[in-house]
Amino acid sequence: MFKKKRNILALSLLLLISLATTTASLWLPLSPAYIDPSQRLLSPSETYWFGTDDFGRDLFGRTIVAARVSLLVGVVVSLVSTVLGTIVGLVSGYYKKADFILMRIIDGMLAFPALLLALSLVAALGGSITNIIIALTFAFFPVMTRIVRSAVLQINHLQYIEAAKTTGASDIVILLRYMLPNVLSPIIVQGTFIFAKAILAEAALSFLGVGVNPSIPTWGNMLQESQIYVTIAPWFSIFPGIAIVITVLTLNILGDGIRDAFDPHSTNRKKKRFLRRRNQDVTLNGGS
Amino acid sequence: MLQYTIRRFISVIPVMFIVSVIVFLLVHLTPGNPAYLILGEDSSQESIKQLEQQLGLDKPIVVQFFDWIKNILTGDLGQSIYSSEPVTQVIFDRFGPTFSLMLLSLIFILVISIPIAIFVVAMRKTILDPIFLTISLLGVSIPEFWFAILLVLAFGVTFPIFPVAGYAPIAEGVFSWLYYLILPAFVLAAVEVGLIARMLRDGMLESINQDYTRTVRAKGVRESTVLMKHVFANALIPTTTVVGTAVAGLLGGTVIIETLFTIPGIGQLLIDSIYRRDYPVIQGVVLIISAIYVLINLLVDLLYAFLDPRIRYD
Amino acid sequence: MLEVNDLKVHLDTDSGIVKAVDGVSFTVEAGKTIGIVGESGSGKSVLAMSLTQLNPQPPAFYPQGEILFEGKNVLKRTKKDLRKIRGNDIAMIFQDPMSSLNPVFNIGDQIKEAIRTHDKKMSRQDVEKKVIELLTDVGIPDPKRRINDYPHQFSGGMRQRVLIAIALACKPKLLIADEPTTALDVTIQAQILELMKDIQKKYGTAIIIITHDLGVVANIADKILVMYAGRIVEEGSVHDIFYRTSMPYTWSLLRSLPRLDIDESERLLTIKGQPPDLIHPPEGCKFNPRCPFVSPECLKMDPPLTERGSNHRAACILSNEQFEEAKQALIIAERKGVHS
Repeated sequence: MFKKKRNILALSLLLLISLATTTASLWLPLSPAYIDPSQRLLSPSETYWFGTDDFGRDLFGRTIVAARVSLLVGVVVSLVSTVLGTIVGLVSGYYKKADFILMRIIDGMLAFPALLLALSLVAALGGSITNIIIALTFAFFPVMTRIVRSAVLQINHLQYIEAAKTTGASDIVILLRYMLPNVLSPIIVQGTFIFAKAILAEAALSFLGVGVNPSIPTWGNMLQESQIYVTIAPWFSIFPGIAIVITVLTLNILGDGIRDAFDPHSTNRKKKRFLRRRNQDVTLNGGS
Repeated sequence: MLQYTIRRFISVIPVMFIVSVIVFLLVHLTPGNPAYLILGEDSSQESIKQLEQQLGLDKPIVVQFFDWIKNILTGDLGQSIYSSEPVTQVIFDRFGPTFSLMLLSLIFILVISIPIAIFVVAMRKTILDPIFLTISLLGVSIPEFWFAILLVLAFGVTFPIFPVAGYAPIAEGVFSWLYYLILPAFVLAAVEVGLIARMLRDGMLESINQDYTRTVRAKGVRESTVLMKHVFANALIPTTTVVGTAVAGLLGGTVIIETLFTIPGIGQLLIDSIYRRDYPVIQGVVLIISAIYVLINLLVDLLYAFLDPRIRYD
Repeated sequence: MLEVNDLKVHLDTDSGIVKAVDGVSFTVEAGKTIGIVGESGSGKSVLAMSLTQLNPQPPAFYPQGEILFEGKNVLKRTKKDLRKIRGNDIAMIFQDPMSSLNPVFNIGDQIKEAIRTHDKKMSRQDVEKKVIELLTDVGIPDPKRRINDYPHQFSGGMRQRVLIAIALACKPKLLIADEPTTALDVTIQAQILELMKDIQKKYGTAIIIITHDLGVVANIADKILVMYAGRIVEEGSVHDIFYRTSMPYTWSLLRSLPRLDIDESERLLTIKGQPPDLIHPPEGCKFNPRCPFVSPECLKMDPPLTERGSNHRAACILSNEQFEEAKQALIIAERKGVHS
């Protein structure tokens, strides 16, 4: 019961954030872009709920508007990673020959800590929103591939798949009609977590100064600007951070909730599967 | 075990090959001429030609690739464009702080998350468990750089106990080394603690209802021994792999933390080199960090195999 | 030595209170063997675990009854006292030897732990010697070498022997074996049962064997209790249970057993229906939905255990004679069914 309420609360909060940021220009009392040097670094007040930044801009409005980039990056990265990861994972799990090559490449990509891969890709490509989305997709889709592949390997030998094969169904039909619906739950769960991770990573890249152009308000950019004022204007650092935490937390709660909904013992089962696979690997590798 | 070890070592080769391909391609992904990018728009034709020659950019890409592989294998990662020193030297000079930071973080992670997990499992039937789950979820939702800013705020302004910037090599004394590192290492660890403690808890909860714990209880062993000895020993094995994951997080996190706390490590070198467009150094750092990551995962896998008698004696 | 009086063990689950053990009384005398027989879900394992309070609480709780071990109520003991009983006075072995040993410790350490828990003063050499002695007693070949082996290096039968060695470590007065042979091959089953008989001779331990298979207890038990839906429905000697069966459920169990000495037409019949829902058990006699001799009476009252001979009791409204008649009538009807 507690969990159900938590999920509904998280979903409503996420929808509220999306609605608030997309319709911001309609209802925000102060323009988030309006510069007023006389109002620099003001602490929170009735006029400026979250205070003002170093250019005298309203931080409440900027925090709301900044959600656009975060949500955009999060949605696109999680969608593209999911589609890409699912395709590669399905192919890899189903065709043994393709599997060998694809998994070596995926293993190679997984050998980079995700943030590092994204960071160096952005450094090479340049820091536009599109490039950040490309870089983060490359950083996150390999994990999705791994998950889809192992889910496919789990069901590949099951009877209904074998049955479909013997009736002469084409590979495409088997993959899309029989495999995909049965590996959908880990895909959706992981997709939600990638959404959350992408938001965190985008903020980190912007914070490091290699992300979105500093003129565009994003939570990472705001925190980057706020850093030197942290001692004199702590609210400048606090509110954008809280915004990130709330958004990412709602996504993580939803991911957790979806996992529980699909499989009440998910954590246990996954670990058992993992252990079993591990032992199998070892026996297959041939002991003494 | 020996065969497993050999197989596991061999499996590193294709992974590192793919890693080097990706790192090699980093430079060639840049839109336009890398030499032009490095030197800036107002540079002369000659200096661009010269740099192209220095970087080998005038040769066909396949030749460049094999030159690059050959150089890596001989330990030559090229020359820094910024300082003209060999890249290996530049990285080596920055290695100490990063290693110190990661080591201390890892110690923090283990020292904090293991007792928390045991405590939560011992209290599993109380309200503490759902509270822990919520906190650990909150833990993975907090950006580490923001958490660092909050700590800087707390310790730099409100309670100025620890320094919020700088680094002292261990050669200058263990105390000052620790003194400067505690805060950054704690921030770096904090983000991973929630995840690791959660994994440990899940593993222990699974182990706690296994048949063998019933056997141990039937012997008349006290519950705390059941938890600390039997359940923990079993939960520890899968957790070694989680430490591998944590190290990945730490390696990514050092970039942020070193920048924030101005620690002259590899992470800061990477960010500086990105600003300077010092591509050979960027490539070198990314390659080395990935190699370390692959190596740590290899060690973790071997440790896993060693800890689990089912694999050790196979 | 052990006396269980009107014991109830209930489990508080999300879907309701499971009355796993619902008013059970029996006694175990020193050195004797008791068989408790029933289908899965009859409450027999919960009963076994409750004797040393190994059931996790919650969900288990004890609303009624007492378990007197050497005159003292186990249910009223402190945790510390209970630990002294477990392993030392009352030891247990469980169904699945494959998963009942901790995979990350070698078997020597796991046996030593059983000794050390109750005797902290014994010297290292003595403990080592005792472990080897125990392993020899349970028939593990080359115990000196195998003491350092890990569970996965043993077969199922050998692991069950190791578990028996753990149970015997402190010379318990009572050994509770919960389905000790179910997970094993038939040939190994016989060996393990033989071993338990030998052990009893050598150590003078009383044994409670819990099983779903009447065949297992047929030539080892001094007394058999048949459990159904958390109650004892029939108890008596092996002879009483097999040849003077007085309760339709016991009879159904016997008929589901492959046997050579009984007419073919009576053989290998399964019991129709499912074991009862222990949250909402049926009104009247709990066996009535599955009983071939059910009458309107059975839906109204739950018959108590009544004397059917010396030390033979059964819970059925039919008297022995009525039951015999009904049985014959059913067998004849079945034969006709087969021939027509």
